Amino acid sequence: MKKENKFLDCIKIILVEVVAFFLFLFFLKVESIWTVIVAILLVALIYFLSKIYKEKFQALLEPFSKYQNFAIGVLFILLVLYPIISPLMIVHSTYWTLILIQTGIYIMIALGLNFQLGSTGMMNLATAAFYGIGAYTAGLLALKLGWSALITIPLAGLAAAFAGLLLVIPIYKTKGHYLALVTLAFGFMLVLAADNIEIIGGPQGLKNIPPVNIFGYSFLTNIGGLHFYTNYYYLVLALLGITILVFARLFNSWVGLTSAYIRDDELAAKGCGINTNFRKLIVFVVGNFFMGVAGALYAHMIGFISPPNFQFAQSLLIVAIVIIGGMDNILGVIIASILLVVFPEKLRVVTEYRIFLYGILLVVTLILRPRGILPFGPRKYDSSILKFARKGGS
Amino acid sequence: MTSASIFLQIIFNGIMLGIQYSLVAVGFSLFFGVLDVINFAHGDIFMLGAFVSLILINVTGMLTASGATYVFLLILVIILSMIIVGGLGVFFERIVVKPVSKGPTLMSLVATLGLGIAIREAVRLFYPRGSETKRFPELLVKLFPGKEAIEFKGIILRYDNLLILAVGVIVVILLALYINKTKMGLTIRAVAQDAEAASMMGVNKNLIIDVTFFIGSALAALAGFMNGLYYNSIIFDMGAMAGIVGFSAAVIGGLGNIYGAIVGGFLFAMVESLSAALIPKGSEYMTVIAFAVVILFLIFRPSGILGERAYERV
Repeated sequence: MKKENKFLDCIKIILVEVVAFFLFLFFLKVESIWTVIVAILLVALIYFLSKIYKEKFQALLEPFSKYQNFAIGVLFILLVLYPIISPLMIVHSTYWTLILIQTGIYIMIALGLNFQLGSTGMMNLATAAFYGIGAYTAGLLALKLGWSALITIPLAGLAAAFAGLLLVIPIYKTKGHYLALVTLAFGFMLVLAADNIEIIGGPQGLKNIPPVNIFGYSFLTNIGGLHFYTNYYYLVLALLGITILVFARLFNSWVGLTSAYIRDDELAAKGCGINTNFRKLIVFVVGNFFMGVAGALYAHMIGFISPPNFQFAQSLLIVAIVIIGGMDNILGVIIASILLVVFPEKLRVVTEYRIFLYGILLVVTLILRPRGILPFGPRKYDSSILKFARKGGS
Repeated sequence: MTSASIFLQIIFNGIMLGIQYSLVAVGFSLFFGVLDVINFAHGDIFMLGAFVSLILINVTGMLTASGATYVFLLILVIILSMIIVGGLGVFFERIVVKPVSKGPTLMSLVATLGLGIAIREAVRLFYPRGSETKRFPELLVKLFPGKEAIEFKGIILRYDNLLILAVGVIVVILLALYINKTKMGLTIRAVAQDAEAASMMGVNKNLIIDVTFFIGSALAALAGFMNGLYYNSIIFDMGAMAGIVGFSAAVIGGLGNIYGAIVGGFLFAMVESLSAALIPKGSEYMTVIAFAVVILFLIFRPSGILGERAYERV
């Protein structure tokens, strides 16, 4: 009886995810303003249905939280199959593959910021600058020294992490809006400096950065008739998988727990003997590392970077992703990235009014859901930890 | 030009920019005081001020008038643009800022960001040929024909700049009097200090919020008008940088403190104009240097120049 139930649940998960996946594909592939309208109406419909039929909706969602790993596995398989399925539906589809890769890169940066802002409460308004440090490091190493992407990508992450260490004194001394201003100023300084330093290309930026080449396999080859973006798609998917794994583990570890403590009440955390300043520094550095890695991926894939790619507006986009995602919520960050990166591309149909609608969309989303799409709830621990806690308490 | 007069010119330019930055920064500080929000749409309110006053200049046809009518129309344009943009500020506060300010502080940051984008794009789309730079006319030259500017101790003072200086000083004094001497000013300060306690004393909190947004937006509109007059050109995205500089100035001065915002605005402007003049290739790096000074200031004064010092210790 129980086994059958599990089997049914799994079927349910697969069904829901496959339907959602194909709906998403249709949304991407059909070039018409109607897809956007239909999508908005559909989301609104689901939202209202979930309010009316609360219990049925809960029942539908329950298997997802019960068999979380299975649900993630199914989603992962669907994403792996994407490059093979998508050409079957519509032939020329490289553009949307590129957009999905971009989304993946943005999710990586946003997860880095989520660790700083969502988990620890440190505002960082220089995300685009750290992302840019990664991109420039990888670009310069590959261009001037001819190093392989296998080395440049981790080094780019390290460079961004160490650049964060430059702000050690402000991190120790300021907080809240004042720290936000320090990072904002830092980001501005870096972009303006990059614009004026000739060795790194000045306003022209870096051109012809070599593509990723791992053990003689160039990422420019077309595998089985698929466009070469497919290579990057898999690379980004793999690195994104690792990033999500790292941050999920961090969230559930004592690092995540102490971070949440610092965010909620720094004074109390200090009182409990947590070295808050040192913790904040570590969180800052780790978050920046992933931004740098994302920047390196971007540099190798596009092959051209220049200062305007890393301006304040980009940082704000990433902050918006984390906040709309609900702060300290990995799934929320992913959904918000799709919303804020893929959706504007769909709005390209309305060319002129694109950014205008984007602004209004941001405002409306926050008025309707003032705590983000998936607000952070209390932490869930399984029974083994609770048992342990009770034992420790007695 | 002697070196002393060059120095005076630099200081004068710094004051010109400082007045504009301060007027924007005061809005940031006021809003943070009463509603605990950072209103990132404030820079775009500043831009609206420039565009509304340009429209009013054209609509009233003041450029064809002369003499006393001209002066009257000029004053009318300034006051009317402040009232219109102040009203718009209250409107945006009602529909966007206040509803989201009940959530966490950061939510309001993103919502006002979206609002700013919408305002900016609305001007670009709906103002005739809005994506181009618009010329902002010189105003006071018409009253003094034959002479472009006056010279004082070797420095050149354009009439329009003198207008900026005069209006700026008058407005700052009026603002200080309003906040310190009137009953409304007292209630604004009370709400800024503790909104809950103030409403228990019978203060109509919503009214105060409206008044604050009116004042802040009107001041930003005035700054936008001055900016147009100073550079003689305006563009739809001029508000983005002004917003960031205004926010920086408000934070250096200490958020929530109006005098702090004014001091911060002048400090930022002085650093900019000094580094533009004294350092080789300075005009390219002036904003970099100003932001470096911001970071340094915050290291030594972590809660701004005139901000309250938070004593927190375990």
